[in-house]
Amino acid sequence: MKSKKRKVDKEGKRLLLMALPFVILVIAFSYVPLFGWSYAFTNYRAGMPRESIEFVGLKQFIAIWNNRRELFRVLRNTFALSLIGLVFSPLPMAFAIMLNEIKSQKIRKFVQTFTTLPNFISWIVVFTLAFAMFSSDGMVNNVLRHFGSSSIVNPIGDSKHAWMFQWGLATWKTLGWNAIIYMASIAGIDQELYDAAHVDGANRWQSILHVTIPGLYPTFFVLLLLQISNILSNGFDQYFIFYNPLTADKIEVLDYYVYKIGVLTNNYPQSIALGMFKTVVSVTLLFGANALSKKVRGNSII
Amino acid sequence: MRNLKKSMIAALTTTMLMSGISVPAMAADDDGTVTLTIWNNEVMAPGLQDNDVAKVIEERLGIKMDIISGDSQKFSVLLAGGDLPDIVYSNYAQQGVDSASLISSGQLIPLDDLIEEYGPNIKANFPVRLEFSKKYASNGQDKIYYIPVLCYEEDPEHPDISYTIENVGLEVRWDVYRAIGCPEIETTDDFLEVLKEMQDYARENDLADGKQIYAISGWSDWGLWPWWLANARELGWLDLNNNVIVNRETLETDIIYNTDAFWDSLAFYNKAYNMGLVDPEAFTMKNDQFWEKCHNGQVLMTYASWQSENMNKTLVANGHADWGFEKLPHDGYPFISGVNSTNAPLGQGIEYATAITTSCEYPEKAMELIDFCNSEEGARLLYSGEEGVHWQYEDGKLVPTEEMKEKIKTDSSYTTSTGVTLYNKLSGMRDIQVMSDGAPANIFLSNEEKANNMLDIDKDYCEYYSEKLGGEYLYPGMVLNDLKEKGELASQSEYLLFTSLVQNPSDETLNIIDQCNQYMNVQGVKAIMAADEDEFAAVREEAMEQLDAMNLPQATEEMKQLYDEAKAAAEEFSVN
Repeated sequence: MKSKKRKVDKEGKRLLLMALPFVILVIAFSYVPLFGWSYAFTNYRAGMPRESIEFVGLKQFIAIWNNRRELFRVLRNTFALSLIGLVFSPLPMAFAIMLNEIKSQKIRKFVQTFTTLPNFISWIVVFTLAFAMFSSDGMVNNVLRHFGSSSIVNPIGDSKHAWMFQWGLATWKTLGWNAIIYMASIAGIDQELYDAAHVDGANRWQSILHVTIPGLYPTFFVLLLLQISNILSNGFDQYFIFYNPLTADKIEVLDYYVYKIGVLTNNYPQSIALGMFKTVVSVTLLFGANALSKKVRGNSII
Repeated sequence: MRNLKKSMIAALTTTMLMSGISVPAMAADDDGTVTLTIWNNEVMAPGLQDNDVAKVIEERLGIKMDIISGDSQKFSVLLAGGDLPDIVYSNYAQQGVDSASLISSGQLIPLDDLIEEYGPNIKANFPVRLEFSKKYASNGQDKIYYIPVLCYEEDPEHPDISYTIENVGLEVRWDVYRAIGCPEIETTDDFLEVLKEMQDYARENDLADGKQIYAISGWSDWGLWPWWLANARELGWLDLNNNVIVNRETLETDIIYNTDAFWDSLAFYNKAYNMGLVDPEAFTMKNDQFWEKCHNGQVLMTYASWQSENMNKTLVANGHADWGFEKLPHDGYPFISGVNSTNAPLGQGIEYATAITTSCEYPEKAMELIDFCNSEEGARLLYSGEEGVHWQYEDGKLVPTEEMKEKIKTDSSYTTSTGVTLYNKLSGMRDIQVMSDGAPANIFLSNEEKANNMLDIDKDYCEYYSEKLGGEYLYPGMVLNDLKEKGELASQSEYLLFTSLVQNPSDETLNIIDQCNQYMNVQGVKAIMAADEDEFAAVREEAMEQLDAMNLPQATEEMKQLYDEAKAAAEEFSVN
């Protein structure tokens, strides 16, 4: 008994040692930087020597609150864009299922590669492509002119459709990439389940409905929970590149706002305060969604 | 093993370069030549300089110039990390850090002793600027941290006449204006009608090879710059630091958003927008796309002489010598800014003033370089190039060499390849400053050279007005100057000393102004795109309410107080 315990201890220590470098990395890169939060309570400006930095209490938080109209506008955009993403979150799953149903392996591989590639294109290139397509002398407007249209389509500067346009761009860029994890999950579904369904007389559609989709539920819900926890982090690059005065009202999201306050107006303490707010809300959302999942589905990720 | 070591060093250096980590400049070479890093955003090819001008500096002073450029983010990071280049200048708009914060960061060195020992030219030329620097740009320490640049002492007998106008002002495509019969313009509404007529003509005649043509375009990456600055100047206001403008007649100062001049400028573009004259992409394009459209003939109005003069040369190079932008003597606005150059005994004040940082290992060499750039010899080199290579004496006059003339005509990037006019911001004096040999620092800006280098479009402009007014005009600016002297055109170029004597505002005020700017960059465009006058008024009202909530009145009060103090200080501060 004693020797078994010693063996477990030894095994545990070995595992702990293996994990140690990663724990240290997490502490170094995820927890030590939290020291920077202390700047949210100061009057720091770039280049200020440490001895000149003054403690100003909650001044930055009060300033954010006083300017809440801006913050609420930014939060509205952030939530709207994230919610559109959430509503369409089954899309990669549906795409993966459709890909899986393609009989020809060559075509399947081609479509998969073709749709995955945009994920590796930087946002600045996406912007250049979009501008080349939608500018007044771009491809789309030239085609429209060719067919006698006198109006110009310019979704880059169209405030009304800004959310859907941005969602469309993000979906074009990431659909194939996001489908990979579902492709892997589909490959992991027991083939016998399909055989059994087939024996029971299920056609392809019924197999998808009763075998594939239930088999993908766990993956889908894990990704959904993570997406909910990231609801305030809908990226920076995309909105930074596509930001312009015409659509700013609609696509200025929290990440861009933090950048604007910090870097463009040199108010680093206030941008850190905003970052703290974002972290607190994200953690709350994650635990909230996790608890909900536990209650509704009986399992959770934490 | 040795190879492995070399490879590792190479890989490490590459990684550092790729990841944006600055590689420290090399120390002194074996021959004693030192490399100095210099912050400058105007050099299009940063890095170690090897053009003609840089080579002369290296031979003459034993200094290699390594130019560092970047945006405010990069500057803030360099400052926060204590990695500033050896020589920097102060420019809040570009760097996001004001001159006072640079001093209080402890990363600038006082220059008093260095100037005493290594700065004879700095002491001799425009000495009053050193007194200004001590009193108004040292955070009250009474030390010299900054050396103002680009000083200019006008000759009241022979004022400099700009080639077209000095700096900012609305200019239009002269060939198109001429084609529609040069209609008279008395009000800004007339101006808009003329622009409409020009746009219609350009479209009907397909002047841009099937591409969309708009009378007015713009760009979004400079905030509202295109939509108010030129118009406000032509309304009689001068733009100053931190979004303050001054009425040149009443000397009233205010933050732009509080003034009618700003909102009237936006109203002009609002009317234009509703007349279909404004390119809808003006609010989404970047600055280089605006230039490209102008080069393609898709835009009929520019906002500054430095745009027009550059674009006109490119249009010639692109085979459109008959196209070009010119300043109309009358465009409905009461003033034309900069027919003559403004006196500048303190140079640009704190703007672009040179400083040496604590990162500099060779402060005495840095001072030698700065002093050289403050000498007549240095200014001539920076603006005109090397004697015998870029210019020469001919019958006692300074003229460009044939090789240089050819280069200017055929090589649109000759400033980068020769270095001529590339390092203007290091120079203690302006390009038009007449030196002891009787020629301006930039020999290409003498009246003779301006006339020699006229483009076909400029000649056409001069000939048209010569016929109309009866004068003889060597270059376009002379038309405007003649009208000004006849009292038929109003221009303002008086020197306002107090604008240079303003102390730095508090961090809080700077922050309020920055936040208001960010807000107005969006709200201003909304105003321009308003469907009618009522909607425009509603947008203005909404903006003022929000600016109030952002504490603009508090910032305004502080800025006004600082300018009032500066006006009082100007009574006591003598520049003579």
